[in-house]
Amino acid sequence: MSFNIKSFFVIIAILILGSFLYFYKIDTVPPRLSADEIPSGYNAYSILLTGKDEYGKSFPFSFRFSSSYSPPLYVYFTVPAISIFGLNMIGTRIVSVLSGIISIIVIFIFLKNLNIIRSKAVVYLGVLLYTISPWTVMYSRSGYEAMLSFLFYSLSIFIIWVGFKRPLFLTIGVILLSISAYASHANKFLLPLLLVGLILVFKKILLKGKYRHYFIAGLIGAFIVQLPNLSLVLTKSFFVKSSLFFNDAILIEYQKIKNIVPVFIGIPYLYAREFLSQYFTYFSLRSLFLDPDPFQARSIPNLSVFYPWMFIPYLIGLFITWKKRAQTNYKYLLLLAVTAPIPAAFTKDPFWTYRAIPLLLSLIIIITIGIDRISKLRLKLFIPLCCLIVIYSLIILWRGYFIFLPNEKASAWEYGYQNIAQEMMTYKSEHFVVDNSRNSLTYIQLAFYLKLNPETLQNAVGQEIKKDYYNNVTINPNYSFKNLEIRPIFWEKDIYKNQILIGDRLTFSDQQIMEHKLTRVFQIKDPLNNIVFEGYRTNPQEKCAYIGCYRGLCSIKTLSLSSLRI
Amino acid sequence: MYILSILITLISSLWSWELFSFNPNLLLVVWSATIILFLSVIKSSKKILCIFCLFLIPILVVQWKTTRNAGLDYMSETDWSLFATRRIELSAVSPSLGRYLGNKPEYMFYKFEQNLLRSMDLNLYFFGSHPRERSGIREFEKFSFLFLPFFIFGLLRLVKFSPWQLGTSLFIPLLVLAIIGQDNPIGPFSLLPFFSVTIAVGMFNIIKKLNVI
Repeated sequence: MSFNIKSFFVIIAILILGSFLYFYKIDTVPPRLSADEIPSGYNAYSILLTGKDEYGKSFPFSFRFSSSYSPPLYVYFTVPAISIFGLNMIGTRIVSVLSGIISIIVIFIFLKNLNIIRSKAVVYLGVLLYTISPWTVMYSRSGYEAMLSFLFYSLSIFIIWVGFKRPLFLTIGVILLSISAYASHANKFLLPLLLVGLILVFKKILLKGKYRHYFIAGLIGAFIVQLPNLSLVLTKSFFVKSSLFFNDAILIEYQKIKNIVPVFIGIPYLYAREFLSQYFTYFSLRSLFLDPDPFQARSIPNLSVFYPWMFIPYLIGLFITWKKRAQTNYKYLLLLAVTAPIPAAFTKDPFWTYRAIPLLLSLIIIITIGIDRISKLRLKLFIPLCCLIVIYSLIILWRGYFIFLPNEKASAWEYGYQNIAQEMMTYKSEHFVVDNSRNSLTYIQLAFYLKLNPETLQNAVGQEIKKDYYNNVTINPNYSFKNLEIRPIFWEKDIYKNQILIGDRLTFSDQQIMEHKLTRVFQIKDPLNNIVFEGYRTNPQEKCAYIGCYRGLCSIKTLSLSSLRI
Repeated sequence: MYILSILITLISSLWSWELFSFNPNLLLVVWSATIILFLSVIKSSKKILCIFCLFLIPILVVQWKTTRNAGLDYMSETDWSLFATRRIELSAVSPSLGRYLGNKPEYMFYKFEQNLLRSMDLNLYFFGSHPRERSGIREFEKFSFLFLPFFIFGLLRLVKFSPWQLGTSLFIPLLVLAIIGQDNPIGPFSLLPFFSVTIAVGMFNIIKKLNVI
């Protein structure tokens, strides 16, 4: 397939559309930074200013985010972005946006080189569909590692494919695949699976002649790249996601049948059932084309990861891929499709699109194969129909993502913390207590929006975390800096100090407000007009007077109040 | 062996027993339809397929009659509330948007897609919709997941060798289910003949390939 000026303009047009879709309103849609984005942004800021993360650890191999650990690549890539755009939504999300745009080029080149699509126009259509697919748009606009990890994965897969013809690229591709393990947990577990799969399926190519030397060189390079990861293998940071494994569910399930089924049959049966049910969800029509990701901050209202109409080319593409599985390019595609959801299928979360994002590559190619087959029917209306479907898809994407999502998913995207920070700036001289009973990441949300100096946060952390950084997963979500305390509200003490108490709808009941003589200072509402946070000023004098009148204890309370102030 | 494979599939299916406890006569009709469809596949006979269609009609009627809240225009209270909210959201952008993108036909089209894709979900049949169980709908495993490889292999065989049988037994019930929905105490049982026959065909062919017979 030759590359001419026409192709160039088509791809440029798709890139412009992609750039628009991923950049447009990036600082307002999604409405705020989610719990996954905030730590990436703030830690990049911390690395930029101090060379250390929020806990004071210098350039870690794996970032500790609350009680979890995250691969480091996204944070390090975000450091220059934060230095250019500052600590804000654009700075935090820009790496994903750029990864999304670059991935369009990678998909285009891979589709062309795979020689799987006969029609040139369908190759462009496939790239266009990738660009506008809800899966791509969602993660290209989210400030965490998903799209960056996908870019590394797809680039390495493409380079390995080139290596099937020019063996030097095998070495480069395998090393790049190994680097991708630092971009996401899913890639970390996918790496050995893919390498074993490549050896098993393509042993006749990879383990013969000069290919063998380049492939082994790639494996050695990949091993060297993995040394920092391997140094963490015995720490909790490496297997921090092990709690997501469905082990416990299996054991509970087995208790129900243990009297009738022996353990050596029951346990393997239940494991196989659980794994396969999870695995097939990633290929199910309902999951891929209808129901959104169950995790609210990763789903678009009324849309799944692909458009509903795509199930027709998907089924056709699946059938053709299976039929032509003897051909090397289809075999390669099948290997990618079969291995991609395995790490995600080992977890108990159903259809977790973030962990299964490598699947996007093989599925978009399978869908394109299906469209290519339909195009062979030589339907007169094929091109107008495609145009119509693409326009329809863009309309429902725009409706779901730019209209419904900011309103309906506001709370999932942690709406309100930015507003709290703004209110705090308004009442600078006041002392604040922010209730964190239902969100252990409240401290970093406020640190982000208040642009808190990272050294202040690092000094507020206990020294025991720095000493055993990769093993210590205990969380202390309570912080205190300047005029701000982040902790649960202690009603027996806090109402006797002059301060502003901040919490969500569950923090303050009407009875508490009346009984403790609280005065509302501000109220933060989400776009659907639901109250998300409220700030109340305490009134110790009035409260004491009230108690004194009611119980005759005014003097005692006043005394205790003065002692509390000390 | 042909007969044995279809009998194993039907008897071992929990769906058959659910149908039996729901209505034994219905089970009889569904089983008869299944065996006729199976005969049509192994004999590649379109005449037998026509007889299958005669059985399929009453099955589809019962499917429709026993489905709660059937119809694309049905809206639960939650649906109504969401529909109204979204109309307001769209109208806030532009009044005409609410009219065009948040109207009843658009909702009905979405419902059609929803019913269709849910009816085509393999997890519904082999894992009782696990891990994405639906609220308010009784989920149960229609076939053991051990039959899944047989089903996939059988489906590939049917696409290649029996497209008419596949089309009739799959697409007609699917179309009906896409319109009436799936809120049925025994699930989309009009697809039982298709699933049973596909599994049986797969089972037979896999055993034959392994030279067991």
